[in-house]
Amino acid sequence: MTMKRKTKIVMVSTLLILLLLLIGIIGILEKGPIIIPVFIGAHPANNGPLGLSNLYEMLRYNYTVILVTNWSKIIDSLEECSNILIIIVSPEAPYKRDEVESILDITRKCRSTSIIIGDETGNTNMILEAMRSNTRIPGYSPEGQYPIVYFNTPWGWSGILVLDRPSVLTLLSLTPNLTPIGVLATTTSRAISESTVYSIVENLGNITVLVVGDGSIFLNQVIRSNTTMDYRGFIESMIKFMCKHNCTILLESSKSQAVHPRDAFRMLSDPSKALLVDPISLIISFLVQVIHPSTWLPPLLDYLNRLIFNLLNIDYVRGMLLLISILVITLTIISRERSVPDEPLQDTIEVTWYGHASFRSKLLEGGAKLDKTDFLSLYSIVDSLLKSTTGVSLQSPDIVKVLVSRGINQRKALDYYEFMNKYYGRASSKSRWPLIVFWGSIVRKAITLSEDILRSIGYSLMEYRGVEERLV
Amino acid sequence: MSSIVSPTSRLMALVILASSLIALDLFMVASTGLLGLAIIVFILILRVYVVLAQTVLANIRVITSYDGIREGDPLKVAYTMCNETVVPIAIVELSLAYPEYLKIIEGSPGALILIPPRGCITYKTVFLARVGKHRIGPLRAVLRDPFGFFKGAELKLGDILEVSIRPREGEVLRKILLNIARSTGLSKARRAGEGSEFYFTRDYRPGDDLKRIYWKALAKMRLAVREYERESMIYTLFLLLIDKSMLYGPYLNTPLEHISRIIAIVSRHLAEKNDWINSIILAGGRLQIGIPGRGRRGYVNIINNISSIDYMSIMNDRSDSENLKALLRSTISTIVSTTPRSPINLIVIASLDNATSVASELKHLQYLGKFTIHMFIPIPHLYGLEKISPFERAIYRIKTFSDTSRAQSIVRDIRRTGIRALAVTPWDMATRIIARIERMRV
Amino acid sequence: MRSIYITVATSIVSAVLAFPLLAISLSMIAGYTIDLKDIFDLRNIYSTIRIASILLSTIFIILAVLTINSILYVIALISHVVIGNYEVLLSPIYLLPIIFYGLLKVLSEGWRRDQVKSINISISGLLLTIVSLIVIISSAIILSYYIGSIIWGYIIAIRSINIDVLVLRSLADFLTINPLGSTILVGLSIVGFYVLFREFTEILVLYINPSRQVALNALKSIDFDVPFKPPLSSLRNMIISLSIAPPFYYLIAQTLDRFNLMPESLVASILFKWLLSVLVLTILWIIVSKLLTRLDESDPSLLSIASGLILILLLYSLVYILGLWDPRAESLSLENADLYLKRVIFNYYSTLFSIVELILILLGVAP
Repeated sequence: MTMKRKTKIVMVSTLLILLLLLIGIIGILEKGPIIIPVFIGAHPANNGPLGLSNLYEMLRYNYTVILVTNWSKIIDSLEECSNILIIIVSPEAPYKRDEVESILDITRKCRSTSIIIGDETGNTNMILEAMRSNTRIPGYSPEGQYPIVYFNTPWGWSGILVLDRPSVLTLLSLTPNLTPIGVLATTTSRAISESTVYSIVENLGNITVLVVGDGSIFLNQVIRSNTTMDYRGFIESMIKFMCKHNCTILLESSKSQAVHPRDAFRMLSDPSKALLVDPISLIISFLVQVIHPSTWLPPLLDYLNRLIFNLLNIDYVRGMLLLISILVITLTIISRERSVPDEPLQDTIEVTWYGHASFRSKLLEGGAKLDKTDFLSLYSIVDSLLKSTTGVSLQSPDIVKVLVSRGINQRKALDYYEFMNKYYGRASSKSRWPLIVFWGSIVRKAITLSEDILRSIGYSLMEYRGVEERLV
Repeated sequence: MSSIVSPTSRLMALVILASSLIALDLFMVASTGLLGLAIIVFILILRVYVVLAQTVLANIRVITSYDGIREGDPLKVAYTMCNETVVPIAIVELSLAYPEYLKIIEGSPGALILIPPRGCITYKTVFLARVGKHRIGPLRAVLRDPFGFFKGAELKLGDILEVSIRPREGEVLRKILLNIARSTGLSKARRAGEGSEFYFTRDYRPGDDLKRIYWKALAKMRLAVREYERESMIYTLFLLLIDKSMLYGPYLNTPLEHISRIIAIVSRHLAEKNDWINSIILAGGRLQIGIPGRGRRGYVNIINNISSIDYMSIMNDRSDSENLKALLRSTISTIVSTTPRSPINLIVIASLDNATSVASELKHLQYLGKFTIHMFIPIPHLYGLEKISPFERAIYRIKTFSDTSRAQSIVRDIRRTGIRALAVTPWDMATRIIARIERMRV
Repeated sequence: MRSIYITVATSIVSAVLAFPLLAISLSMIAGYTIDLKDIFDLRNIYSTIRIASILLSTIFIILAVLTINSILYVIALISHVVIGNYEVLLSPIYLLPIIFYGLLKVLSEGWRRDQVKSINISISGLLLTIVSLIVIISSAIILSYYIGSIIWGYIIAIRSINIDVLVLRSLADFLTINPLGSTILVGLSIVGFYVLFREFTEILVLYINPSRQVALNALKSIDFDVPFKPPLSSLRNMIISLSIAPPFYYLIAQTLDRFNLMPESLVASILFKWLLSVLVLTILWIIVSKLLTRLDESDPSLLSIASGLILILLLYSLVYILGLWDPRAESLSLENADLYLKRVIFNYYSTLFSIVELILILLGVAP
């Protein structure tokens, strides 16, 4: 067997995988790109200065955090709610009735619920009202835009924090359940009145409410800031307190505005709105759009189409394209068939066997080379025949007489005798003369001469039935 | 991909044509797309035809027969293919598989045929028969569709014929035989005497054994006695050791064929004399032991044994001399155990290559006393002297002289072991062998 | 031993069949008032191409006639089509050689010299064969047109499809209106029908008329010793490399860390971790693929399996030892072995997973 081909049968070819990928790309193409909305405002996905991503990361490290995008749906997914902490930071829209209802359902369903509200707009008042809290957020601050507030918390944290355009809290009634924890710093001895309380903690049965009239302390820019005021510590301890041992945190994510990346991009150029947008998320958003096939594939195909149609108008290119087309169709069909070379059946070649076959065929072609061993053989044949017939060897000079007596010319016989013995000596290396011998022609001449001699004694080299009977 | 039917390169041309027509349509030049597609469908339908025809061809009923039994006579071989379905089979290329050493003298070694639906077609060819056993067939067949686009896989139709050809007893040999028999005056007439073979009936003479009376003749009012032939007690055994060199030579005139003819005629002669004759042939590493017999039976056995010589196994024989020696030893033990105690003439035909080994094994037989051994060694290269011009013959002789002298020395060596050996040329082989045998019979 | 008469006859017929195309080519060459300068004038490349094509075509026709080869003839034909000479395809007279050269070649090569003496067939049988062949071929032609028109109708329907979705419209246009795109579409459709039809009919015929010899031939023609590349081998290799990647990743990370080969901040950043884990995985995947393809072809020896397993065990042991002993720490680590390994492995997989998750989200595959 000749060398085996090292072919492998590939069950699932690379082409197939590529085709499947192509189909996948077409599928994504049709589905369209995902538009990652850019959140501006207090949203956990906003990485910008005004976002809540740092808070979210902080919380995620220690607690289970669920981002609430739809309050009505969230209650069903809460299987185990022994301890829930709801954090609402600067909602940009007021709460609707059903949302409030859902929040209340949660408080009812769960064993204990805590709510942290950081709001300067007053949009959470509906919630506070529904929970029968005595606190309301009016939405203004009479003590200026950046009041310094002193915090003295029941969990032991105390310190001074500067609030950013907060809202002062309105206390409807001063119950023992309600504890103000953040008051204007300059108010030391003055009685606690509405104009100075900025943060309270209220116990409403199984609900614990902590309200801060400023959502900005939770924002990224504050948490990231490196000031002497320990906002981060405040928040961390607050959370720890409100969470008790172990809780599930529901972080409000449905109330901030999401914009299309395009609009976000436009906002970047407006310096007043630039801060709201986090450039990094914008870039990622754009990249995602760009990578998506729907951005580049249709224009590419359009370009290809137009290119080919333009090319078709050029005559010789049209011919080339036609040729390519023919080749493509042919090859797809031919590749499914394995063609064989069409050879006719080989008939049996009749041979005749001969001994010395190669030599014989060379002889018939006329290419037999004769050398001195052949001369020696010839000499031997003639010699033994002469010896057996006449009793005289070819080496003996008497042979001349014998040959003459058989009818050979004297001269001829003598020449023959001399000729044969001279070359016999040369062939058997007994003499070095003549120096240069072309044995081929010498042997041929010897054959012709010997034939006449042999015929005189009744033998022949050239006849079919010539010498063998005597030789054997 | 199975290959019951494969497309040839011509199909690609048609596919290119079809693709061009379709491409023209796609490039909005002409509405030739349908034509192109129709061509492709046509290709598929044609393929179906070829597959169908291929299966029909594979299942076709083939009747093989041959006619001819003697060397030199025409050996007619015929394959009749009968298609019992309604599917015509076109076009089938046939090629007969036969040994390369046989020659066709009439007809062709293959053919291009059509097999009709519900019809038959016969393919026959005539060889010039050579002695021995030959395997001819099967018929190789390749189906193609009429346009040559598809080609089926090669099929084998019919059986392998095993043909046994007997040697010819030519006039020349017969004349030689008669000449020798007459000249030596040793032509042994049948002798009347004790025996079990019936010879003739004659009238009763006083003194005849009463047991010999042929009572049935009394019905014709004749008192007759049956004479039996004296049983011949001469046993002649031919031992042939055939190797490749015995197959060298022109058609019908190789050493083997020559020997076969000689043995055939000699066996007939001996059979007529009612001698026991038998043959053992060692060919191609195999032993063919004949059944001894007298008269016609013996003759027939020898002819059958010779007719069973298989050339191809001889040519392909790769066994070495050890093998040969082992075979020889088993041959000899067979000879010893199966031959009777009466004197045996052992005629050995060996080749130049194996003669010495044969002689060394056979020489032990001489000590048994009953064997008279004669060895004949043909010189194969002399058979190559035919069919070349005179001058070339001279050169050939010179070149092969070493082989000729080798024959001489081998014969000399064998003679030293005590066995009578003779190297024989094509011209004197018959005469020498027959003469020896005749002399041995005295 | 081929018949000389048949050879001569087939040559003459092949020349006659090819004559029309040859005539056209020669007349085109003659019709050109060739100014030798023009051929080398590159601005007039079109004319050069034309002349070259016609010359090529002529040469191929002559070769085709001499060798009775239909492929050479069809190349000559295509040379005409490419330069815009479409009528060679539209008129059947130029297409005859493609159909009949096969028959001529089979005759000239297959007909033995004395075969008439060897063959014995009745005249009626011969006539019946020829007539039945004509009937079969004619029916085949009619049937092929009928089936062809059905399939062509299908292809036309595909090509005239209208897609509403805007983003997909350009792709659809490419496939249906653009000639090259249509070529791909039509070519694939035809191949689909071709293969189905072929396999179905072959199986049907073999079922109706089974034959032992044909079946044996078909079985023997298949290469027995061909190795299979198992499907989804890439996936399998990925899984294997995933399972051995953690120690490699950890080792490399530790090396970088302990020998302070790279700045601390870079090593700690999430991007670097991603890059390293993906790199380790990819390199391992390539190595594993290469190793396992060899195993797929031949049976793995016990030695190779054993050595592979030992290597993996050694790796994990090395990881463990590294964890035990950190030259910068004061004492041997007291961490439990399985917890430690679990941490190492878990870190790696979570790193990888975060990348995968991110990519999937970005591409819009996952919500």
